[in-house]
Amino acid sequence: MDRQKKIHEELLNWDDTVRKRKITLSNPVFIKGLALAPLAVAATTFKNSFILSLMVVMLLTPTRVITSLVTRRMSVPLKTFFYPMVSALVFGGAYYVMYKIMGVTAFSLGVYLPILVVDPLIVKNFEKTRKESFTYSIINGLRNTAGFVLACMLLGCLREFLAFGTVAGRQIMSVALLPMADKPFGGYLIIGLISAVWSLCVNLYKERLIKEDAMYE
Amino acid sequence: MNSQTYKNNYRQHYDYMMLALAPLIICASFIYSARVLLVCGAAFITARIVDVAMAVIRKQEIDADDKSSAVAALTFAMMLPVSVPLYIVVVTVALTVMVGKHAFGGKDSYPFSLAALAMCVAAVNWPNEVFKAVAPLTSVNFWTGAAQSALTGSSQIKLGGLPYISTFDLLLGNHPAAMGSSFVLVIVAIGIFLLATKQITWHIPVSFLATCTAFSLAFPRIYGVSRLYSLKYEILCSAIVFYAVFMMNEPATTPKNPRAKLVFGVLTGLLTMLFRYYGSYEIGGCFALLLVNATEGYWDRLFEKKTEDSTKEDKPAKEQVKAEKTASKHQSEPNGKKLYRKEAVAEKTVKAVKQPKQPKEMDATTTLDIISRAEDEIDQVDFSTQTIDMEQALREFEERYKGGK
Repeated sequence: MDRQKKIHEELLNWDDTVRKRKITLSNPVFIKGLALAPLAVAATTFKNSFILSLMVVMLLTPTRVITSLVTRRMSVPLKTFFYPMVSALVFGGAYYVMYKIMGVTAFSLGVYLPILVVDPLIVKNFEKTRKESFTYSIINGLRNTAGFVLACMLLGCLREFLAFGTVAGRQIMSVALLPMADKPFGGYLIIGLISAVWSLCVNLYKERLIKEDAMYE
Repeated sequence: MNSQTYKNNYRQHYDYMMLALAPLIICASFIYSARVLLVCGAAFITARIVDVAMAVIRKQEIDADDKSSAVAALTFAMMLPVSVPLYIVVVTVALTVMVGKHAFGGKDSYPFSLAALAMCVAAVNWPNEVFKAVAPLTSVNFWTGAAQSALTGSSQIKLGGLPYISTFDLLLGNHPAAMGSSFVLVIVAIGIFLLATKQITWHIPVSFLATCTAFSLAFPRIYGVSRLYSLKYEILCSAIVFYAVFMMNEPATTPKNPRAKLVFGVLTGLLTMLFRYYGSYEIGGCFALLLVNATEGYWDRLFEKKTEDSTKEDKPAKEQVKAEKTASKHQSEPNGKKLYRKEAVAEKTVKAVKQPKQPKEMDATTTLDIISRAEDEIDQVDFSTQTIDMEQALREFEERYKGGK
């Protein structure tokens, strides 16, 4: 009975359900298409994906929380300038922490780490006219971060496997199945394919819920 | 042959292309061992399997007569060396059919030549295996493809060397090269056959070959010899004749207008030679074709428009349209005063506001018609997957059919 009620509510408030499930139903990368440039170019291996993910963990939620507190009475044009400024400041601190943890490895991604400062994944919220509460900004920031980390790590592992036959540096296959996977166009191709499969899964999930709901009734 | 007939003959075109590829496969099997059949078989079967799988995924009917993927797969196989590992063929064909064909809408809707796309994918991924040529009549391991590699004529030109292969061998394909793209005489004969059966038109192959020839003559790459000597190797050592006959005449990816075809051929020829001269890979033609494929629709639109504008028969019709436009601009009032169109529309609107239309009364036939339409709509609803708020539906129904609309 509980399940029936849960499914029914989920379907009734489908938009809310999608908004809340950032990891699966509205993944910031595979469904919304955010942060594609750094992922397609830089997330070629497990290590690179880990560096990118770590930076997003340190950057996304703090930027979102600070901006939600400070920009409550700002107009949209002002927010447009303010959001990247805040994210740049947070990035400075995050970069220093990363350098302390990982040493020069942190610089291995070149411009694709600083470019996150102006990526829609971090600064897209400036478009919102609605005020965001402190708690909501934390929760939503963490959800987005989790969604990005999952996509980034999945992509890094898959591309490393296809391009070199290894995962996290360990040899799995002696043959490289798709050497172009470590190149930017290969990255876009793989992101596109995963996005298609991801969307298919989301649609199948919704169809299953509808059928289940109809069965209960 | 006009463009409409050409479009209607897509299926027939692919049948003929399959037939045209057969002599090449036979020649290649004779010169490079029976492994050619294995490579071609792997490409063909992969293309068919992926087609069927994609049709199932896309919930479409499986079209057994659609041979476009199979033709592209065999054309791609003909550009590979006989020593190519089978997994390269399978992965490339699968990826190409999936992304290059079905992602763009499938049969007859894809914008890029599938064979060229497959070759580019293979070249970027596995350059060592794809550009490793084997000399004719060399022993090749049937399963692994292990064989002694040899330097192709075009590689020698690229490296700044001076190739020496007799003209007769160049024409017969008796030199290290890809499996099927070096049999120039056979390819030319196939080209004539395709022209005679109206499966291809002369515009693209001729303009393409003429541009390549002119470019090679103007800017020879082999120094210290005559321009004609350089031209011979530029054209016959590479797969240029193969591109002209097999890859540049695919109806789905080439323009339909004859003049657009000429421009298409010239542009592809120019880019092919530039890629060959300055690019890293020997398959400049494939990259050039992909680039020019992107402009295919533009050339068709441009030349169709120009043809329409310049046709003399259209002039009276154009004048008539102009006269009608002028007449409609001025509408006569009863008192002879002329009103411009905007004023006439304003007048009409004012009248309509002053005398609002009465809703039509529904007669018995209209009511029956509405009821039958509503029944049809209800029949189409799948109640196992949709939930309906009956009150809301009734209200919507009332609003939609109010006044016999």
